[in-house]
Amino acid sequence: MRTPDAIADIVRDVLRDVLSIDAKRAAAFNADTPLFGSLPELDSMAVAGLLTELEDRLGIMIDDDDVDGDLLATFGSLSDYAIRKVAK
Amino acid sequence: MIGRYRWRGGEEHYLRHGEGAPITLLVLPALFEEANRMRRFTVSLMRALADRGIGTILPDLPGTGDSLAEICDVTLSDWRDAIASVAETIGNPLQTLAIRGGAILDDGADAGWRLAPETGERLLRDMVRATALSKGVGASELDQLARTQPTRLAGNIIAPEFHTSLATASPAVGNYRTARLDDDVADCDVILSGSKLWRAAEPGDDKALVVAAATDIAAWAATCGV
Repeated sequence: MRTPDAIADIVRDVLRDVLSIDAKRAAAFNADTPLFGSLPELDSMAVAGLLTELEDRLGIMIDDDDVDGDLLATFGSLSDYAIRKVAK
Repeated sequence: MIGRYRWRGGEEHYLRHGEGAPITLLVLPALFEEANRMRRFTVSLMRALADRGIGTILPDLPGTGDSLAEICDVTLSDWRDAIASVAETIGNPLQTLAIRGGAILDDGADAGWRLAPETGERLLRDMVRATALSKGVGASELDQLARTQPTRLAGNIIAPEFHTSLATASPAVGNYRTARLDDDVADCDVILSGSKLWRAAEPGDDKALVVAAATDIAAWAATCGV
């Protein structure tokens, strides 16, 4: 059973890989860090890849109906969603 | 060198490295937006294979690269026919090198090597999600639309017929060697270390991955038994 913190760390790892940013910058992400629309590296294609990577690494399915700007608004909104999906 | 090949829909270009080598692999590139992100890696890999005495041919698929065809007029069967035409110029046996979605097109191979093969369904899903996010519309709604009318998905206008055939296209089962990268959970024959360039927001290269892939491909090509 993965803890919420462990899941948030996986989200952080996937962001780091997809965005090709350094570990230090990724480690500084907190719940309020804005993502889509704020990080220049995070274009819509990168977001789509990010979601697929999350699905693969966490073994979850992200509903297409859930894919919108709110999901990707902040690091907190994305990791909370991942934590809820893993718990289901 | 750049060459040309003819298929029933017209003429397209191909890029060839290692001409005159005893083995020539037909390269089936990553598809759609991933093709842009993987282009530099693909060409680096072709050069590395040429250094190892293995030739490669990378065709422009109709509607991609320098093709004069419009992607909105293209179907999956056009791509298959174009590939069959390039394959004729290589002759038998046919050995392929497929990258990502290119693996849905290598079913005519006598033997094939694949890097992180992907289904058409998952490629489409990425494209639908990316487009939905950039337009601020729902992904499921956009997917429904794309099934009934030509729809721009991640920069490519995909016709409904193409969409339908892509949605059910999977890499064939057969004489294939599959390589995946170290954090990939799916089945494979060999794990290589490297970065998922097809996911990276900026097109890039990965020299260590090029060397690792070229080394594995060269060993496979010499022993795959065709």
